[in-house]
Amino acid sequence: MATAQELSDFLAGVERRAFKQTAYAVRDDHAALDIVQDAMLKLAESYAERPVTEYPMLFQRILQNTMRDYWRRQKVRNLWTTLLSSFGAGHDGEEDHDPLETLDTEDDADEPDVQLERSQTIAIIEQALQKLPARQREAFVLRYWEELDVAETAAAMGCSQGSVKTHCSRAVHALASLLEKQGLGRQVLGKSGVE
Amino acid sequence: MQAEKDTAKEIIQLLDESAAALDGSIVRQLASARQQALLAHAQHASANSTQGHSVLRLFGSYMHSPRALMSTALLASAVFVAFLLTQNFTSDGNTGQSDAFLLASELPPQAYLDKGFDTWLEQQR
Repeated sequence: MATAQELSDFLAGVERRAFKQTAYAVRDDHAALDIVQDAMLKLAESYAERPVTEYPMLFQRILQNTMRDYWRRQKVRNLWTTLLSSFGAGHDGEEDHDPLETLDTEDDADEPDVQLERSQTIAIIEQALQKLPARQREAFVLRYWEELDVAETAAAMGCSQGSVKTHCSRAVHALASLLEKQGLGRQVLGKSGVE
Repeated sequence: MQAEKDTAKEIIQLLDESAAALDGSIVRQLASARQQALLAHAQHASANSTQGHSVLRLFGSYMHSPRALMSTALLASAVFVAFLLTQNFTSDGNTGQSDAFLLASELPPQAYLDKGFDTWLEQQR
């Protein structure tokens, strides 16, 4: 059984990435915080007796499932919203949030030049990540950001190892292509803070 | 394949930067969520240990109070007295049974108390 200190260290190490990862998926910081908090509680309550070495995969699995629950609730809510709004005056497009619409408007003009360039690069990458299909983003984040191996990623995603490899490969190619379109080839990425 | 990994690595390094530069309010909320999870973990752990050693734990904490110790001693005495009384009643029951046997037998009870009867019985053998 993991000690409280081990759990604390694990959560402290993973919480920021979990939040960002969730925010990319749900595109709402408040919802992302709720989801991460739910996942933390579920891990602590339901898997307290498990060794700490199992925590990364367990936490990711819980996080993914909590995100899916969120999507299901959103789907039902959207269905009702659509049904109810059809009775009143229609506000077309209010629910359709396209991250690409805000792609060029989210520049941080307050930052110094170098930081501005870097933050813009990061913003573009984050937007590109949000634009990825959910499974590809999930595979990419788990495999490369959370550094799970292929088998662990497959277990967390509930799919085969072959699917993980395919999703990862497609995700990287899609990201590279999207970044290329934004003028962020590998050379630019390298200049933007990556050694 | 290597180029794919390199691209992924470069993207991930930028994402790490982004995660490191999270807004202060979000960091605080994440820390608060972590504390709640730790609290839940502690409650779960204490519930587990209570299940395993509940009797010993209760007994141990109970004994810390002299008043509780006194009441435990009284309770133990009451149980002991009750045990003795039960034993007494049980033995009374046995005596009653033996009395009934004697009264129901062919020889009168006085026969067993009469010393002359014993000598007479031996003579008869």
